[in-house]
Amino acid sequence: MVKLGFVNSRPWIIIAVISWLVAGGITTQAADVRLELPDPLVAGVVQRATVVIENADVRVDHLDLPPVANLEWEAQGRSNYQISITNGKRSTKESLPVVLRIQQTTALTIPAISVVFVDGSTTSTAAVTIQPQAADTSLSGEAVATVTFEPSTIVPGQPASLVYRLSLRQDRPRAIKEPSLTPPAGVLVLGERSETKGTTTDKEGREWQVQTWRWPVSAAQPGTFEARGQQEWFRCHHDLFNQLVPESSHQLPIKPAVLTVTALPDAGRPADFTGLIGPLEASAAIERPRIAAGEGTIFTLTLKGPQVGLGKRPTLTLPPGVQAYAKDDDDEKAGERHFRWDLVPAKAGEIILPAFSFPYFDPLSQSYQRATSAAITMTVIPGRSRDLIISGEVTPKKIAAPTVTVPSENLRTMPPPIRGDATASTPPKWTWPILTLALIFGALIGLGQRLSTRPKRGPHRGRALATALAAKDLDAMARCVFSLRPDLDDAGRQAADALEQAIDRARFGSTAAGDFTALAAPLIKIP
Amino acid sequence: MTSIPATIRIPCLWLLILTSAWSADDPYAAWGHGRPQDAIAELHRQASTSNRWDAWFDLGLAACAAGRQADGAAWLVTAHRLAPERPEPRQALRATQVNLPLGWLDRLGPLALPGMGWIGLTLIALGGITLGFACATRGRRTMPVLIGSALLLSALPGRIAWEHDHARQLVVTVRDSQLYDSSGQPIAAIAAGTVLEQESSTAWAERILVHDQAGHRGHLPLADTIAQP
Repeated sequence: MVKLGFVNSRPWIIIAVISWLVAGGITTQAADVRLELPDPLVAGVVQRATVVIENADVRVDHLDLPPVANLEWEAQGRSNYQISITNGKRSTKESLPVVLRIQQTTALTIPAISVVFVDGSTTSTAAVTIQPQAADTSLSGEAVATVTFEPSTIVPGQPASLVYRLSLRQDRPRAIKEPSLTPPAGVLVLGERSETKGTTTDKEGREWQVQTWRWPVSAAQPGTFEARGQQEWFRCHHDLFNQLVPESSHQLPIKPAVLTVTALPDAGRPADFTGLIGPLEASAAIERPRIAAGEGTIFTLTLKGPQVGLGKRPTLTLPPGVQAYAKDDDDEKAGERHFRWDLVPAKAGEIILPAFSFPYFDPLSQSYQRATSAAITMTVIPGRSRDLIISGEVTPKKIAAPTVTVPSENLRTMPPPIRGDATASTPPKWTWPILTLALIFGALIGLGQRLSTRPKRGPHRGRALATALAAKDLDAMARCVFSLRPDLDDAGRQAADALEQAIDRARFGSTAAGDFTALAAPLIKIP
Repeated sequence: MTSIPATIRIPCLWLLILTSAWSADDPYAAWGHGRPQDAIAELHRQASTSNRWDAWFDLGLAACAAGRQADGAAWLVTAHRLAPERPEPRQALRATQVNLPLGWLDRLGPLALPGMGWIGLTLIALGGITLGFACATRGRRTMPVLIGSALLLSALPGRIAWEHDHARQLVVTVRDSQLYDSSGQPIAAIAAGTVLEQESSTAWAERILVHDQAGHRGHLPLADTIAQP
């Protein structure tokens, strides 16, 4: 029975586990509750805070604000409930306003606030510790501009800051185009201007925007320098594209400040004072405190402080047997300067690198002080030395001949043996014989072509004429004379005419055929 | 135990003897077994017999491998002189820190390529035939003259440069030596492995007139330029 009951209960167990997982998945979606406080928190001013509850399953019923000393607060107004769905994920956010006023300017711990939901469940915010600040009583009107020197009294060369602070009330848009103040004449500007922005609250709890510009300045000569001026600001409104549009322009006098530069006191001024202003630190370090003779190490002397660029490289006095080579000074970076030497000891022993002292003026104590580095001991152990010995005959010097420019990859590569696989090189001195033979061969070909294309000549016409004369063939004689005519000169032509007339007389019977040999004699030799 | 018939045993014996003799005469076998000094004599015999550039080249490599840098340089220079167009001897000389003076082929560069080897000779022959034909033929001659001239102009510079470099008499000192003037006074020291150019093939008092790449000119003992295997 037990076994049967176990088998029958299995589906119910699976369903129960799934239900538990689903229910757990729902309930484990914990709500995120936090208290958002205004920044800054100003004592004595009524300000608004917000309790935000995110991803709660149900709406908030009310808040339980515990009583806190020097803090008056209460929930006020209706809550704001928002539902958003992003990528199919639903999230909720409910905000409940809280009005509070703090009555102290020291640190204050705000305990957890209980949030009670409509279903009776509760949650709470985390306890926070806040640092209220006093309201700025100097803020009044719509805009305030002040300038200060920090510190206001310096000595020549001492760095200071010119601080220009502009506050604009933010109950409506107010703005400026650019700060009007510039450092006064005679003040040395040591760097770029920096700018910060922030907010503050006046005694009535109104929010102000504060812009602060700082110039690093100093002065080379004693005297007083006043910073003053006027600042132009604008009442504005936002246009359709949320851009600020000035409505009216206003001038605001800047509350001035004076920088007093006092001369450096003569009393107690060291002879080696170079103008360094404190605070100043000097330190020394060595790269390797234990080296072998003949090796090198780097000795570094470091100065930290304002205007360390005024420091001069000190003279390094070393015991005999140690050679020092000064290295180039590093540039001044972040108030540090390094003086470095390459030290090369020649013999073993303990070498004490002396302490260095730099005088500077301390503005706090208004007196001259010295920043001193510590002495360093360097241990030199015997090194390996080898004498140069030259013996035997001095071999002649090999003459370098950088004549051939070759690819770098072939500089040191010995090629493998060829083992008779190379192509035989052409025989030398074959060029001109081959060229001569080729010319002759080509000429022979040309001559052959010339002979083969020569026009063929007919039979010897003069001899043909002689043959016809011997045969007394009148027609043949007439044809031979006709064929000879193109090549006859005047005398030949007269002879040909006479011969033709004689042939015609003989052919047509007017006269008997005579001896034509005499008439044909000039023509028989013509080819 | 059955004995091998004499008809088979005797040819096998001869084959074994011939194989042993062949392997004994193969200089590359000894070289391949790390004994290049044992290969030099046979390689030198082969190079002297054939006078092929690759034989002199292998001989030079073997000498360098045996630590005889100066002798190796001398034989490599011989290989270079026989085949100045081949890069291997120059590369091997460069690896042994020996720099050859510039030749005409080096100065011509790629322009010398058409005139190299059998291709160059073929081009010259074709150009000569074409020009000869143009001189003797009847009718139009412009085209054959142009073709023949182009063939000769492309091949002749490289071929002339090759013949010039081939005819250069480069010598290498195989031991430290000195240059002497005609009166026998030493002029300059010459280190072993230095490449010099011989100005005349005529020896005088067993010395040859040479100049080196630093401009020294004088008589060098001929014996200091002859590498012995």
